[in-house]
Amino acid sequence: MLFVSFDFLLFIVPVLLISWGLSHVPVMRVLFLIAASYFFYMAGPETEPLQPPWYFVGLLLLSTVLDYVCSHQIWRQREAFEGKDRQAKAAASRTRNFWLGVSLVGNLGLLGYFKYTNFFLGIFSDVANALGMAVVVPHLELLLPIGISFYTFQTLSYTIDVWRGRLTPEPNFRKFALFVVFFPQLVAGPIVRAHEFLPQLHRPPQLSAEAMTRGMYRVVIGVAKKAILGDWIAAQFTDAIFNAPENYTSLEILLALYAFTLQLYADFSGYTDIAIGVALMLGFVLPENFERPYQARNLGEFWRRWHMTLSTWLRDYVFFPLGGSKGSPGRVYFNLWLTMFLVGMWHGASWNFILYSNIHALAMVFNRWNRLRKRGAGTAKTRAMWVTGLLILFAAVYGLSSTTLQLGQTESLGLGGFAVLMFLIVARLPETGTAWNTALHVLLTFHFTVLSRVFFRADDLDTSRKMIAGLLRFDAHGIRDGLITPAVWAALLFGLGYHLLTPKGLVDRQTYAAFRRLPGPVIGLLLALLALLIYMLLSSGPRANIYFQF
Amino acid sequence: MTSRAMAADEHEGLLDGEERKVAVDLMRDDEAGVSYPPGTFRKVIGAMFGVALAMGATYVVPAPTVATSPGTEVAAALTSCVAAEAEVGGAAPLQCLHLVRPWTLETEADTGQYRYVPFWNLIGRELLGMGQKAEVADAEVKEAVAVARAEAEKAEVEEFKEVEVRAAPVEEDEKVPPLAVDPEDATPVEMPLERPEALDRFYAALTRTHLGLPGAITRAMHYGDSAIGNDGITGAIRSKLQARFGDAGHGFHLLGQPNASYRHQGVRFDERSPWQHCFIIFDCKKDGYYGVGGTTFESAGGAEIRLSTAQKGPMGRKVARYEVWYAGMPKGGKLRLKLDEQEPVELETAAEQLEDRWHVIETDDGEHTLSVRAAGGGKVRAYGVAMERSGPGVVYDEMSQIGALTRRILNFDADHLQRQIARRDPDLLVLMFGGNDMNTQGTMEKYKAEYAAVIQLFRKADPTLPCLVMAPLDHGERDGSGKIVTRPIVTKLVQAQREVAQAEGCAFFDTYEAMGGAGSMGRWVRSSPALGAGDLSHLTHHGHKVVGALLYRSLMQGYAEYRQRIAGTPVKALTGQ
Repeated sequence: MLFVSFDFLLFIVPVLLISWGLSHVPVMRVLFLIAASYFFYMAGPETEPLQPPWYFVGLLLLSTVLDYVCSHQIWRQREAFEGKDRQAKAAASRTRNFWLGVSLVGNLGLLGYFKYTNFFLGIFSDVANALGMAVVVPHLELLLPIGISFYTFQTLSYTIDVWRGRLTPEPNFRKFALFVVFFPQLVAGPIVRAHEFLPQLHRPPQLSAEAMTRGMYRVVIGVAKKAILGDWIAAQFTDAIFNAPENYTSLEILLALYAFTLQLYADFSGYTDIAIGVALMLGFVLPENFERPYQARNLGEFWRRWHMTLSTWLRDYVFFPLGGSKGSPGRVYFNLWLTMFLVGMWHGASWNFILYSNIHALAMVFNRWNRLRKRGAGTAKTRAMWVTGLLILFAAVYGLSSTTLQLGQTESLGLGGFAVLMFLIVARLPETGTAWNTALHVLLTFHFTVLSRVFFRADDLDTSRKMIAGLLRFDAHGIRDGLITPAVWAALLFGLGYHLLTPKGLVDRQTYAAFRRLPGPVIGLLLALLALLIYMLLSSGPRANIYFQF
Repeated sequence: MTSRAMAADEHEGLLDGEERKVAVDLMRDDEAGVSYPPGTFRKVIGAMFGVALAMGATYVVPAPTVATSPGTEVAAALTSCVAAEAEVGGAAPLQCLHLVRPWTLETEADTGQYRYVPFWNLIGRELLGMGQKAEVADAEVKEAVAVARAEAEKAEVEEFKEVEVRAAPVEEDEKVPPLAVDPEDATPVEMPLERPEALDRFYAALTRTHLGLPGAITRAMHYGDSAIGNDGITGAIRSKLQARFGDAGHGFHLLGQPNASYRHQGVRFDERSPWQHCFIIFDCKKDGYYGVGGTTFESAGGAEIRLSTAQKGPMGRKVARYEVWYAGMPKGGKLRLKLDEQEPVELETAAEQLEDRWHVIETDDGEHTLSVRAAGGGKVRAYGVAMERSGPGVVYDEMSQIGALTRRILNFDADHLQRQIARRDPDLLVLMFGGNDMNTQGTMEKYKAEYAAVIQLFRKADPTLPCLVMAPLDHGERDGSGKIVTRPIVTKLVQAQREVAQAEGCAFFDTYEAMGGAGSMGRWVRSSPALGAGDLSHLTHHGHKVVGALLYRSLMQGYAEYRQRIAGTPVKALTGQ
């Protein structure tokens, strides 16, 4: 089900009323919320292409039972595992690892099968063909179960936490089932950890007038972001360019990248706002997922502010177990690269995402190196290393551009030169300093994210090639009349200006202070007006959240 | 239940800090004692009341006095309703709220199914049985996506294999052999050509090419509107024909870009210094001399373009013959042609009157660059460059007239076009117009007369020139409920073109039905990867590959039937020797 839809209105009003009514009967409340969540998952709208049929909900149930059983089996070995009998300890350890393995294979197996099978078959075919073997692999028509990347990570983290001894298993199956399927965050996050959510089921719901008002505020803000800055700009402008970049000029393609950068943030953070708001009204607190990411001063900070529940998940379950920042510099850089590579690959299975993941992972490696390196006058050896490093960077970007992206020689040389120039600018720029210095860091980081979005949004590598070739054409055709209406210009400028320039704390406080002064019926009319505006602007109906596909 | 933070710190970067360990015990319960202060739900219930009031109002108000046309988008309907009701005065504009009822029991005119069913995946799909139709349409799109994927993979082939040129002369009693089966011929044809026998002359040329006769070039000219503008559909067909029958060159390219969407595949084009251009759709040359490509390019000096063979992809890697198309005219200046690093050739374009001229540069078959520059001495006027090889093979010209109504072709001077077409000497003329005609007023009878006049104009030099009318793509629009549906004019226009094709003795390809018929553009736009573009009128490069493949298969079905018919007849009957 989509949040910004009439279906959801028909759904949420009775769910809220009944949930409040059952707040004195915890068992019934939890059972009711489980039923509502399953209904939410199964009862989606008619979409093109069609979404999976309702019985895909079985995978959700399977994942729930699997991790409930595995976690309890692991916990049963606790005494022996913590005891002093070595033999018993070793046996307990094997049993614990076995059940952890069952959970990992089950969850990652499902995710891998539905999300990555075709990709790996494609890679196998590409590599075999490159080696001169004529291999034809089938393309499986797999339907990606909605939200599988989210709920898989959620249940996996629970079992791993029990295995690590940081969490006792949830004794009550219905509470665990609600943790897995809680509808506000089921299909597109935030990815909630067990230690954040399950304790809330062990205490009374946090219902208060303040929670209700704040919940409504997040819903209103989220709907406006998602529908206007997310869907509307896409329908009016961005989609057309990304669908057929060969038809558009360099400037139009560049503008589409800015627009998509705004659209993606508005779409996902708007969805998160609604999820957090609805959960608040149901008496739950969900973690934040965004913190003005486009105001980040470097890429490390960007990933701390963007899709925080995913990036911190991979930090806690991949980066730290690998050793984190401890160990030799080479090991730390490897840990860093692998973690960020997986962050990127979580989003999708294609050559586009391999490039996107590596661009961000390597930029993170550079970011760390640049912050930790010794500055000052270099020796001849240092200078030689710099020159060598820059040459390698140039050759790598040139090689990638001319082979994988199949760009012309001039364009490839230009991209190589551009990478070297950016490297030097960022490396030479002082870490801290005046407000101008901060602004420059923010601007450079923002543009890095904008340009790398080519690989994030384009349907395939061929479309990415066309986008990049179009950008590098530097044609003088400008922007054709009527392509971007004044209203779209206004939305673009407002959206980018708002998220790049305004201080979050201050703006949020002030707008919330104004919102909470409004009487309830006025808020209702405001929501109705917003719905009317969406109805008029989005005649094709609101879209699924972009992250649904992940 | 307890929560214990073992270490905590704030860090700038995501992966800068130390691990923060949290231990949580879920074995305790503190569920008892739910209490919430009075007034907790007052505001949120008030908000629900506000929403219900606003929605209820849309059901209470009477229908507006001014009727809205069916299919009008919500914003447009509401705006026009408010304007109309405002003239009535009083509270009349409030009646327009009637138009924004969130849920009505309207049904589709063609299927009788409800336009909006809440919780569709459960209720509509399973309980109301709407799933089957949706799944059939879904499967059709998946098939098209599979074609796009397969074509994209084939495009990765580095170079077409060279077609073997037959050395031995055609014997007196030599017969046309049966067609060697190509694996792709086994692929089912979704939309067969109507009247494929109208293309027999084209198929005869293709047979000569297929038999490898020296110099046997089969040449097709594909005119159309923006549907072919970036050489997408035409490039896809060219690629498939050249892969099977041989690459005889890229074909015709204009001397500049009449607009940003004119871009060809398999050729590198560089406009060093722009030419002034005059595009036929603007009726800007009263003499009607637009050149075979429909655009003239003029400069009094300095304008320059370069056309080079492609460096990547299988198409356009070699050229052996450049033919420059230009005009001689009073006070004409000089045109400088420079092939690679050779000495430039200067053409005097002065003439007593406006006349068509051509200049041919033969070279070795390979990678080349030709520069065409206005060299001063007066204004020069030129049209384009044709790039070919010695054959045997196929040349497939993309002749897009972006933004053109079909009747704009009538802006050509008839004699000029006759000479231009005769010089190009095509074996097939393909016409794909209609996308822009959908936005004009006028009867279908008038449209048919215009389309017929256009076909007759193109065939003036050669009245038996085989022609193929390609129907326009499906064009979508969003109806009042937000669904993407086919614009009502599409089927009328397709039918009109079908009738014209029949009357003029042309073959016909129903692109609209080949895409899947009613509502197909909506499905193509939302497929993954997208096959239809966001404007609901054009295709993405994946969509171009699909339509190109669909037409190619239909052409090949006709070719196979032709070869079956003529198998055993003397080859010399084909060659005219």
